[in-house]
Amino acid sequence: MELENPLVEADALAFHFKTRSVFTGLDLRLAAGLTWLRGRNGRGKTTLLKLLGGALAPSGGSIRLNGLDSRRDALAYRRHTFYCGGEAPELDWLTAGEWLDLHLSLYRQADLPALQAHLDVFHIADVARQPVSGLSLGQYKKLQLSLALALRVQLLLIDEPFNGLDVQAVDILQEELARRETARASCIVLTSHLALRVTPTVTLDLDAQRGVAL
Amino acid sequence: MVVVHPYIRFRIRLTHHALAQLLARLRGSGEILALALGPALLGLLAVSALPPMFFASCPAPLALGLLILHAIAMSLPVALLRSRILPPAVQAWLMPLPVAPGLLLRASVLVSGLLVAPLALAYAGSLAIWLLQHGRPDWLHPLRATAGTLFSLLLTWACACGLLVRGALPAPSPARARAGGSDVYRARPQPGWGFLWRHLFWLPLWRRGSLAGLRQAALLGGTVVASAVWMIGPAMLPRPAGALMTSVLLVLFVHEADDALRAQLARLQGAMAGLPLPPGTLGWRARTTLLAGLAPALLALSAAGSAAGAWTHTAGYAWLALAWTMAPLLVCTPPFTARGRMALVAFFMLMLCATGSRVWN
Repeated sequence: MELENPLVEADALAFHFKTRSVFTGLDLRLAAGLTWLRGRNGRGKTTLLKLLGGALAPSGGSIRLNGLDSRRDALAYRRHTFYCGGEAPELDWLTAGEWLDLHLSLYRQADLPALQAHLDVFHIADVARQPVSGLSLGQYKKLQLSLALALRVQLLLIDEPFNGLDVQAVDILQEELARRETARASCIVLTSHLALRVTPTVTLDLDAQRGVAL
Repeated sequence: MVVVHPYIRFRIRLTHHALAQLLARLRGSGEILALALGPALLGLLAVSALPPMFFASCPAPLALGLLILHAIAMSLPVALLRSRILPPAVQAWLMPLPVAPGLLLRASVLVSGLLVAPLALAYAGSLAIWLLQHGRPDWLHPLRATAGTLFSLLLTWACACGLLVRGALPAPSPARARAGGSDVYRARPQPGWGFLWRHLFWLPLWRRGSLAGLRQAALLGGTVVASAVWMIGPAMLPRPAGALMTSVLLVLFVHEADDALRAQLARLQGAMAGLPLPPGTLGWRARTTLLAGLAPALLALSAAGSAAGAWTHTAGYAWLALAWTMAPLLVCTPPFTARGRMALVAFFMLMLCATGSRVWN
C-alpha cells in the first residue's frame, strides 16, 4: 500500500508473545483519515493498536509517527498518540473526574470545551465523582471516548468503540467519525466487528496482510 | 453426627485457604525471622498474657477499661486480615444469597474462633509460665490474673466476630448521591509530580478496600509512640525495651511503605505503558518521593534523641547511622527474592536492636 504522505510508518514490525508470534515482519503505511482495522479474533488487532500506541514494545522492526520513532523518541511519540481501549478500568482506585484529570495532566494539548461537550452529549457529565470501577461498561466506554475525542493527538487508536454503547451514543460516535474522516486532520485507527456507517479512508484486513502470523 | 451447614463449611474453607496463602507467602521470610528473632519471639510469647494479667491487678474501674482497650487492640489483626478471609469478590457474590442472620453469626463465631485460637494458646502458655514460676511478682494474683486474661481473650473473640459480621453485611449506601459536577472541565488540572504522586501512589493506599495506608499509618504511629517511650524512659519500662520496639517498628514501617510502593509500580506497569511519561522515570521518582516522605520522621526521631541525650556515645551514633542508611538501602535495592528481602529486613532489625539496646547502657 503506497500513500503520498503517510503519518505512520511501520517497517518489518515483529511481535511475539511467549507462546506465539503475532507479527513477523509487517509493513504498514497509514495516512490521515479513518482506517478500519479488520480481522478474525486473535489476529492481533488489539496488539497492533497497542504497538502503534506505544503501550507494547515491538520485538523487531520500527514504528514511526511523522518521523518520531516509537522507541527512540518514546515520550514525544506518546504525546501524539492515544490508545482508547480495554473494558475494565485499570486505574480502578480513581474517580471518573480524577481519571480524566490524570490524562489531561499528561496530554497538554486537549480541547477542554470539546471534552465537556462530549461528556454532556453522552450523558455522563454527572459521573465525575463516581469511582471508575463503579461505572457500567457503556459509561466507561463513553468516558474513554469523550477523552479520546478531546485530545489533539495525531494518531488516535480506538479498540471496539461500539461495545457497550447505547443506540444514541453509537449514532453520535458514527457522526463524529464521519466528520473527522472528512476533515482528515489526524489519523484514526479503529477496530470494529460491526459495519461502519461512514466509509473509511482505508480498510486494513489483517487476514490478508503479509507479516501477520497464521 | 453433627451436620454443618454448607455456608459455614464454605466460610471455614475460605478461612483455611486465606491462612494457607498467607503462610505460604510468609514461609520464606518466616525461616529468617525465626532464625534471627527466634529468642525474641519466644520471649514475646512468654509475656503475651502479661498485659491482661497486670491490668487485672489494677483497681476495678481502671482494670476494666484497660482490659477492654487491650482486647480491642488484640482484635486489630482480624480487621487487617478481613479482606483476605472474605475477599471483596466473594463478598459481592455472597451478598445476594439468602443467608439468615443466625447462620452468619454462627459462621463468624467459628471463623473468628479459628483466628483467635493461636492467641488463646499463647495466653495459656504465658499464664502457665508466670503462675507456676517460683517467686512470682507481688501484684500477680493467680485468680484475678486468669480471670482478667480470660475476659480479655473472650472480648477479643467477640470483637473479631463483630468485625467479621460487619464485613459480611452490605456496605451502607450513601444517604444521598452528591451532586454531580457539570462543566467541570473548563479548568485544566495543574500538572506536576505532586499531582501524579497523589493519583498514582497515594490514593490507591486508601481506596478499593486497600489497608496499605492504614497499616503504614499504624506502624508510623507505633514507631512514634515507641520512640517517645524510648526517649522518655519511664521507670516501669527498661530503656532497651523501648529501643527494641522502636527499632522493629521503624524497620517494619519502612519495609511496609517500600512493599506497597513496589506493588503499585508493578500494577502501573501495564496501565501507564502507553501514556506520555518519561520512560523509566516513574520508579525512581516514586522512590525518591518515598524517601523524602520518610526523612521528616527520621529527622524528628533524631531531634528527639538529641534532646534526650541519646546520641552521645558510639552506640548512639551507630544506631542513628543505621537508621538513616536503612531506608535508602531497603527502598533502592532490587527485591532479589522474598527470602533475600526478608534477610535484609531482619539484618537491619537485629543491628538496630543490638545497637539501640546499648544506647543508654
